[in-house]
Amino acid sequence: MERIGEPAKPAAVVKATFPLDIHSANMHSPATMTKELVAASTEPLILSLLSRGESYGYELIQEIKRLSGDKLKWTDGMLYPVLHRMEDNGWIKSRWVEVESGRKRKYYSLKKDGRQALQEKREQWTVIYSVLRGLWKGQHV
Amino acid sequence: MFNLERAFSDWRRAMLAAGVKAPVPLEELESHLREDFLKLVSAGKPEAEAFQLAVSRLGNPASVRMEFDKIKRTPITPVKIGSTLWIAATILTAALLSRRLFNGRLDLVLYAHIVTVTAGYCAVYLIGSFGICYVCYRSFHALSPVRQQSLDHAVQLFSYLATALVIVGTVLGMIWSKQHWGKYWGWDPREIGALSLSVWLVALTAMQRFRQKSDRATMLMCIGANVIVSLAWFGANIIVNNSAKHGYGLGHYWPLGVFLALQFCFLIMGFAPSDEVPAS
Repeated sequence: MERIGEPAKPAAVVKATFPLDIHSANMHSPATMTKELVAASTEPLILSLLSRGESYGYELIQEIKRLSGDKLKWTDGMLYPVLHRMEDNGWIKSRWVEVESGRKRKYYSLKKDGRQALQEKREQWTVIYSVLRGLWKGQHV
Repeated sequence: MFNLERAFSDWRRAMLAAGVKAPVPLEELESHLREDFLKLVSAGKPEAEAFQLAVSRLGNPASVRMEFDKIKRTPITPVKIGSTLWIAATILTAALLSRRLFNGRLDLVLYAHIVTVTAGYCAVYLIGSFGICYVCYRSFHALSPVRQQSLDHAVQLFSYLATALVIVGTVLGMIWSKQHWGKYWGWDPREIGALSLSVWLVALTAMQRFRQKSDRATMLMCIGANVIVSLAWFGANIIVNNSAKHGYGLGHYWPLGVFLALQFCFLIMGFAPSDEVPAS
């Protein structure tokens, strides 16, 4: 099964999606994301990452850090309860895989219900994104 | 000098002391910790520093426990139904026998013996059914960590309860036997059954208390308890009635035989290989 992590996307791709001018990037430290925003976005992010292939907790955290250019950081211990809840919801499934030197990793992958949930979340987040984009059109922060 | 395995062992102990359960989710957290540690070491950090950094990134035991507490839900449906049925059966037994107690046809010690032993044996059937639920969920890939934790919790609670009730009930039976038959113990099949079940339950609770085996081993022992309680309760009564020449024939054995055969089927299903990581 395909695993995520290997096909590295350059950080520039992320910056192209969420453009920040040089001034704001240098003069202002990136706004700290609120706990609520991080919490609300965790499930859609995990579902989106897993839609690209199976992965494990540590790799998911690294991927999010890389894709967000270090702006979105998940507390390591916070991820696993969310994965367990999503597994209980029937969105994802897990399996233990033996890796080098007998160590084991728990890989997660998307189930059919997870794809459905991802589709719903994608529609919801797209609505929010387009409303905000419409409101902020032409405005400079 | 920094001892890596000792550091991991201390970390596990701190997690267990904070209430983080093993093997789920502790094994997965340890796998994460080892992953992070190896990445930091390969990036050039000294082992001791890398370990401390990896531990701090994962979070302290209390905060990790708090994160897992957030996803705790009410018990799953089989646990709710089973618990309700057990309470109803216990109340019904006590209520039905209380009439005989008030009529003077049953003395208080015998009444207490029957109620406690019946409640204890029913609790054993309950943990046995939780073991069957575990095996079925696992066989059909529906054993999520939340379901597993709910079943673990229910098995722990009811196995402690069953152990206490069966032992107290057996002691009450011994007292009644001394009062009416002049001896505490007569190696009656029912007594042997109760003793065997007590030993099995003590082993089961000790295994859970000291976490010597994986969840699967605990659940299979619960199904094994179903076999022992059936032999102790119905099997022993069939033997006693046969020896008293009540004319019990093969017709009285088949329901017990079918039940036991089913339990063996569930045990075989439970022994099928899985991805589960054994408790270390």
